[in-house]
Amino acid sequence: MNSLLGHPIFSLSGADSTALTMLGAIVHPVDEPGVYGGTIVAASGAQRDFTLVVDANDVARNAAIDLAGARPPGGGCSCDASAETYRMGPGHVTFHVGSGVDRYHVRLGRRDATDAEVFDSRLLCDGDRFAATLLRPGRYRATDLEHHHRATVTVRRLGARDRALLREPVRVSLGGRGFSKHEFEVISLQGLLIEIGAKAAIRIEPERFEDDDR
Amino acid sequence: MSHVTLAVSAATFKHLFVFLRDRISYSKSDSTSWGPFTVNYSVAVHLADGDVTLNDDGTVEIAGLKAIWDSLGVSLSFTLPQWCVGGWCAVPTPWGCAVRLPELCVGGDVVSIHPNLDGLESKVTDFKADLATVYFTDPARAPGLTDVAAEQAGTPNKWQIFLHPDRVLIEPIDPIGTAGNLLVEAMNAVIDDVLGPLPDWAKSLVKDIIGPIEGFIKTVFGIADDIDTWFQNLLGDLNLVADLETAVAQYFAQQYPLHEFPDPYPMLPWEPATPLPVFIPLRNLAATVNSAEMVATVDVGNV
Repeated sequence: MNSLLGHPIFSLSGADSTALTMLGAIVHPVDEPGVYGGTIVAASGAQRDFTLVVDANDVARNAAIDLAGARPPGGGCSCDASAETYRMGPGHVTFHVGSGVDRYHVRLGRRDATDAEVFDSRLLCDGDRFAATLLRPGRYRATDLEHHHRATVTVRRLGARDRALLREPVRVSLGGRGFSKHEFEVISLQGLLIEIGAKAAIRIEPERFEDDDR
Repeated sequence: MSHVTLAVSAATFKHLFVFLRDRISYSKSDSTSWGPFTVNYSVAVHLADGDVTLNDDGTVEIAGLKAIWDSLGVSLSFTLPQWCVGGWCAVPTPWGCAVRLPELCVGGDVVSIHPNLDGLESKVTDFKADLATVYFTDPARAPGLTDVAAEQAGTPNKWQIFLHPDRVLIEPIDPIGTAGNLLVEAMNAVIDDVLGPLPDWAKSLVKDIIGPIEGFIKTVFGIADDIDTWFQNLLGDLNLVADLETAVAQYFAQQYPLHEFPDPYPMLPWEPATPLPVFIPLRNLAATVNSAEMVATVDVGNV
């Protein structure tokens, strides 16, 4: 039920790549074919495993994994009914939260002789993308927790002529020298996509809401 | 030549009309689906005012009669549109979007708006009638009951005089100039109600998404032209006025007579002290009006 009444999205503010909510998602490239094992860990303590099969012959180039547990209705991946298995070709996997107010992180490792961990969403790496949607107008501080880089994000109230702008996110990059802009503006509901060029962990938290001024 | 002629002055006739008018109570409720939305309605009407004119051609005209819509409850139910977060391209390539973020959609609540139309008036623009007489046999009268016993039981046969409208025309429900405002007010009210538990910033956000309320109303109900005209057409399509015209005509013509006489007429009703009652059979009741009075004629006995 997506009813406006009591929808948890209204209880969220800010976004954090180390603790994903409905307002944040991570897109992670997985180019090496193979079988990967993943573990989703919720702040509430719940934990579940999944398998990601990357097959060079699979035409799908991405898979979306709902950390809150809902299986995608077909599309970019195929899911085994008995075990949570996602299949795709070399491409990208998207970790997102489709419901609830819990916060999640995810670990991904090779399921072969090496058992090497290849990704932990708490530490983004080169080629990752962190997607955030900020709803409440105001001023936010974006911090790279890894390198302590900062930027100011202004979330502007949605205007009558802004609808077309919502189709495209504001794109910002974050590398070893910090954010590509120190200040940037997004419209409430508009996506903010941060392209990662070095190890990073991003937290976007409110400094002052617009309605605090009233 | 008739045996008995009764005359009722125009002033008394007016009292008879007022007595009937004030007893009309019409109500109706129903619902109907109009594609993307559903309309429920519940109406209650009474009549007021009205100047009675008796004409020499045997007709009765009522001018200035009004239908008062004591309650005109119309509710329009529809689904609030969803709005979505995400869905945009995270990994664009020269060949198209490689990764599109999943959409998270909110909304889709079914809500109803209730424009307040209570207290509207519709003029009865044409009410012209003549008088009609009807012989009424009470269906509650037991078979084989004598006339004296039927009189005692309160189920005598009757001659009745009805005001028989040739036509009743009522002007359309006319919230012209305000219909759009009524819908806007009702829509604002329901949105505030739906969003009530949300924090103020979230209310503002959803209202920003909805945009100008007039445009939103047009979108939700598929209104191509102006809202006033659309709403008035909607009320017309519900046939509320046509049904009321029929109900008013039937009320006067069939349900409540201006006057009635038991048949046979108890000239000397039965009472314990009057062991020999006298009943006179009435035949051939006729009634008409002229500009001064209502005149009823009747024959007495088995004519």
